Amino acid sequence: MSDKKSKNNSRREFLKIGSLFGVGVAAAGAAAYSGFASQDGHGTSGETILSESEQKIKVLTEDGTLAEIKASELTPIKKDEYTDALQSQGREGIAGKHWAMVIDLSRCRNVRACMASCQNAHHLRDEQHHINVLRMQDDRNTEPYFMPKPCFHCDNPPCTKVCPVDATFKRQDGIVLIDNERCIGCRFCIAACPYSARVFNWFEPKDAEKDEELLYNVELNVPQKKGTVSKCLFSADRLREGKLPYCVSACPNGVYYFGDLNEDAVTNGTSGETVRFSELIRQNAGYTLMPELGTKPNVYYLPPKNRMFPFEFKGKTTLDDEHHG
Amino acid sequence: MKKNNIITNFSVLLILLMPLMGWTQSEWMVSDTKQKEKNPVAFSDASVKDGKVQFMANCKSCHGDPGKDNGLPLVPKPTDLTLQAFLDLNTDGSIYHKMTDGQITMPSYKAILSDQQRWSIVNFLRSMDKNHKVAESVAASKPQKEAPKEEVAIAEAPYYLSLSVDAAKNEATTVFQGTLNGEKTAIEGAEIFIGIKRYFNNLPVMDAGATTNSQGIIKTSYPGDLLSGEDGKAELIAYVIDTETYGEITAHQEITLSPAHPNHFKDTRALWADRSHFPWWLMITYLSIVLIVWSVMAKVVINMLKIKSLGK
Amino acid sequence: MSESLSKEEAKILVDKYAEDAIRPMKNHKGFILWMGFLGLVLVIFAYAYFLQLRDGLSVTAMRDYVSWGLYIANFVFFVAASLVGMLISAVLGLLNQKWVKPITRVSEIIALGFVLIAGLVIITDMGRPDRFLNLFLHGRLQSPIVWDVTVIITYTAISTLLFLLPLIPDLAFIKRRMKDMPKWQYHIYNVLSLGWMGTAEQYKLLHKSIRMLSIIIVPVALSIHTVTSWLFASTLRSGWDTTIFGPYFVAGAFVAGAAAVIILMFILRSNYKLEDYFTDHHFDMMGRLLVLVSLLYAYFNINEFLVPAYKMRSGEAVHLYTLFQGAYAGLFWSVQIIGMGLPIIFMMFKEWRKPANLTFIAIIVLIAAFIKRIIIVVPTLLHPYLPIQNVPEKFHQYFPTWIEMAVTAGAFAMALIIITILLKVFPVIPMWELAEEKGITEEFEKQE
Repeated sequence: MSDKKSKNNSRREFLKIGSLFGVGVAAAGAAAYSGFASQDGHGTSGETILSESEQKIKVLTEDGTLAEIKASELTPIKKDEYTDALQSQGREGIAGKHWAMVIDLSRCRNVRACMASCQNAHHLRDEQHHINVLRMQDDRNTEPYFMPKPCFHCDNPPCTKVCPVDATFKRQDGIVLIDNERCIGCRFCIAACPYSARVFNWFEPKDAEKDEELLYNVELNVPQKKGTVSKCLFSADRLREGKLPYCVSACPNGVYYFGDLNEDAVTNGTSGETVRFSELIRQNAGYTLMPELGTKPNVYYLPPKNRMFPFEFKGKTTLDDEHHG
Repeated sequence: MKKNNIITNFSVLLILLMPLMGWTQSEWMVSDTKQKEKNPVAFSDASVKDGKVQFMANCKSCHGDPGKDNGLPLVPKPTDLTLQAFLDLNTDGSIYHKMTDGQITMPSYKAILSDQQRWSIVNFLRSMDKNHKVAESVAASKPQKEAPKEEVAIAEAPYYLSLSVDAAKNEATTVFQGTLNGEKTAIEGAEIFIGIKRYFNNLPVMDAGATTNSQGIIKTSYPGDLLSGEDGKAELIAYVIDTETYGEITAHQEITLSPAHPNHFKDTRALWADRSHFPWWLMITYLSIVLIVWSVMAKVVINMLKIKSLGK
Repeated sequence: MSESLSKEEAKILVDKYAEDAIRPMKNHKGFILWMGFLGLVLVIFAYAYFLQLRDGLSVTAMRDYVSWGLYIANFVFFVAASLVGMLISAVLGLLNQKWVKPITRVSEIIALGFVLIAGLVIITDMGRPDRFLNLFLHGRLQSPIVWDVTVIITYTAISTLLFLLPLIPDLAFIKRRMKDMPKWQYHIYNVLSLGWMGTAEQYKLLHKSIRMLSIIIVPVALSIHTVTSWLFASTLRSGWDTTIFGPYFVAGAFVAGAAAVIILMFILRSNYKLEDYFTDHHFDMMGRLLVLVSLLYAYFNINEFLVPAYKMRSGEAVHLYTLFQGAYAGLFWSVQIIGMGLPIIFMMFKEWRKPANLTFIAIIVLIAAFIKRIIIVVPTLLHPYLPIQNVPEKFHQYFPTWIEMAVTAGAFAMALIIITILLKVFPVIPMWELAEEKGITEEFEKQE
C-alpha cells in the first residue's frame, strides 16, 4: 500500500519522458510505447540519448515488460504515430472486459483520498472533481451518509448520445471516455448527464505549461485542454497495466471494489481481497443510483448499513440545501 | 501550480490528521473495568481459526499481515497487533473494547462483528502471544495428538504441490508433499491458498485457514457457475501460504467455468454508439428529409433560372 | 377588390408604389447615427469576444453546473425570432389571408437577419470555436446538435430563397424607376431581378415557386425550433425532461416573432411614412394574431407548469419551487404576468391594438420572451439530481458577466445591421403583390 503514491508519480514521469521521444523497439518485437530514462541521468532530452549509441536504454514494451537495448538500435516513432497508437487503443478499449465498480457506503468516512489522488493523476484543478464525495440525506428521518460519486459509465449513456462530434464515446469494455483533441466544447454532454459527473475546463488547465510537451493520452485525459470537457475515466490507463484505478487504490477504508463483470469478480482497493461481484451485491442489497432514468450504470452502491463511522460533518447535507425547501 | 497542489494535499492531510496527532501523545486507555473483562470465548482451535478469518477480512486492510508490520502508512501507524509489546500491554478486555468502541481512525466494529467474533479475534491474536498461558495449556493438553504431526513436519525440500480437478463435480484436490528419506511424504497442517485467477487478484475458493490433512490433501469445491470470459476458461491457482518455511510453491490448473455473455458495446447500433454505428432507421429518415427539402429548393432555383432564360 | 381601376388611377397608384418603396432607401435621416451606434456595439463585442477567445469561457459566469447560460438562451431567442418569417409569409399566405401581403417582406427580413446570426451565436458558446469544422468532419447524426446545424443551414437557405424570389419583379421595377443610384446598387438589382420581363409565363413560374417554398418552409421552420427545444428535452433533467417542449417552443417563437414584426412595422411606418401599407388595420390584425399565438403559448405554459406542479415529483418540485417562490420567482412571475397574461387581456381591447399602444405591448412581450429563454435554460441547471457540493460558492448561482452581455448585445447588433441593410437596399413593400391584388399588374410591369 505504501508505494501507491510513488507508483503514481513514476507513471506520470513515464508519460512525460515518453512524450519527449517515442521509441520503437524492433528487438523487443513490439512497438515501445514509452521511453525510459537511462540510469546515468541522460534522460532529460531525447536527442542526447539517441546520439550516444553505446548507451543502453530501458524501454517499456507494449505488453508491459521492461527491456534494455542499445541506444543505437532505437528507432524513434514519429510523434503522430505515437499519438495515433494511443488514440486507437484508447478508443478500442480492452477486449472482453466489462468494468464495474462497487462502492460500499458503510465504509466511507469522507477521507477524500480518492478525490485527491484522482485530481493528482488527471491534473485537475481543485474545484474539478472526476469523483466527488457527496453528503447525502434522502429524507428528514433518514441518516445522512457520505457518497462518493464517480462517472457511472452507463450502458445507456445519455452523454455520448448527444455528442455531436464523437468526442465522447463508449468503448468495448464499457468505459465512457472523452477525447479532448476532438471535443468542441459545446457542453451538451454536461447538460445531458443526470449525475453531474462531467467537468469543463473553463480556465487554462492547472498544469497547462508543465504539460505542454506531453503527448495526449485519451485514457488519462492528460494534458487537460482549455475549452474541453473532462470526466472520470475509470483510470483506463491503469486498467491496461492490470492496476486498480487511482481512487480505488487510494482509499484507506476499503470503500471501493473494482473488477470485471465478465469475470464476476471485484477486488477491494484497500485490502486487495477479491470477491464474487454477484454475491457481494446480493448479500449486501447492492443497488445503482436512480435506475428509473434507464441509464444502466456500471457503478453499484452497497447501502450505508452498519456504518463503521458515525456521520461527522458540521455542514450542509442535501436536505439542508435551499432547494429542498 | 504544483506547489499549490502540494499545499492543498498537505492541508487536506493535516486537517485529517490533526485530531490524531494530539491523540498519539497519550496512550489509548481503556477503563479498568473494561480491561479486566474476561474473554468468554474459550481459547480453542475453532475460535482461533474464526478469529483469523475475521482478522483477515476486517483488520488486515489497515493493520497489515500478522507479524509483518506492514500496516497502512497512516499517522499514527496502525500497530502490528501481533507485536509482543502490544500483546503484553493489553489485556483481552482492552483489545476487545478497543475493537468495540473504536477511536478516531480506528472504526467501531460493534455493528460489524458480533461479540463472539470480536472475542475470537482476541483469541487469534493471543495464539501468537508467546507469553500467553492459556495457549500453552491448550498446547500442553494435547501433546499426544501433536506428536505425529511433528514427525511429518520433518519433511524437507523439494516440496511438491499438485492440483487436480474433477470437472464434473467442480472439485479441486490439492496435494502437498515434501521429501522424507528420499521419498515423497504428505505434509499435514500446511495452509494452502486455492483460488481462481482474476484480472486484479485471485478469488479464493477454499475455506479461510484451510490446512492439509494427514494425507497432505485439501479438497475444495469451486463455483462452476462463475463467469469467466467468453469461453469460460479460467485458471485455478494453489500456493502455500507459509512461504518462509516452504518457499514459493505454486500449482496451476486450467478449468472451465461458465462463459459470460459480454455486451458488444462497440458493435451495437444505438443512439449512443459512435457515428459508424448509428441506427439505420435514423440514417434513412434523416437523409430522406434532407434530400426532399433540398430537392424542392433545387427545383425552385431551377425555376429561377427558367425565369431568367425567359427574360432574354 | 377594386378590379375596375382606370388606367390613370392605376398609373397613379404604381407611381405611388415606386415613390413609397424608394423613399426608405433614399432617406438616410438618422441612418449614419444608427449604424454608428450598432458599429460601436460591435466594437465592444469584438473586444469582449477577443477576451473570451484569449481566456476561454472562464470569462463568463458559467461553471460546471450552470454550463449553459445567456449564450444558449440568446441562441434560442434568435431561432425563435426567425420563425416568424414562416408564420406570416407561409402559413397566413397559404391560408389566403390577403391582409398580410404588405407585411410579408418585413417578416422575411426579420427571419433572415436573425437566422443568419443564430449560427454565429451558437459559436460564441463553444469552448473550442477553432474546432467548428469537427461538426462536419466528425459529425454524429445521432446528436440533436447536428440536426440543429442541418435545419438551421436549411432554414437559412429557404429563407434566403423565400426572400429573394418575391423580390424579382420588385427589383426589376425599382431598376426601372429609381434614378441616380450608385452603380453597385444597379448591379445588384440587375443580377437579382434575373432579367424579369413580367411575362405571364414568368409570373406562372414565380407563383409556383413561391408556393413550393411556402409549403416546404412550414415543416422546416417547425423543425428548426423543435430541434432547438430538443437540445433541452433530450436530456434527463427536471424542467427540461418534458414531451411538450417542441410545440411549447414553437408557440413561444410565434409570440416573439409577431412582436418583433409589430415593432419593425411601427418603426418603418413612422420613419418612412408608410401608413398606407402598414395601416391601422394591419396593426389591429397583428394584435389579434399576437393574442391568438399568446393564448396558444399560455395554453402550453399551463400544461408545462400546472401538470408537474400538481404532482410535485421530487426533482420537478425543486425546479418548480425555484420558479414559483425561489430565486427565480421574481423573473418568472413578471414574465408570465406582465409578459404574457396582461398583454393578452389588454390586446383584447381594440384601443390597445392601435399602432403605438400595440408597439408598446410588443416591446414588453419581446423583452419577456428573451427573459423567458433564460428562465428555461438556467434554473434547471441549478438543480441537478445530485447536490452541488465541494465546489466554490460561485458555482451555485448564475449571473452573466459583462462579457457575456456584450457578446449577446453584439449578436443583436449584427442582426439589426443585417436587417437595416436589407431594408435600405431592398424595397420593403412587396409592390407586385399589391399590384396583383389591385389588378394592375399590367401597369406595374409596363416597360418605359
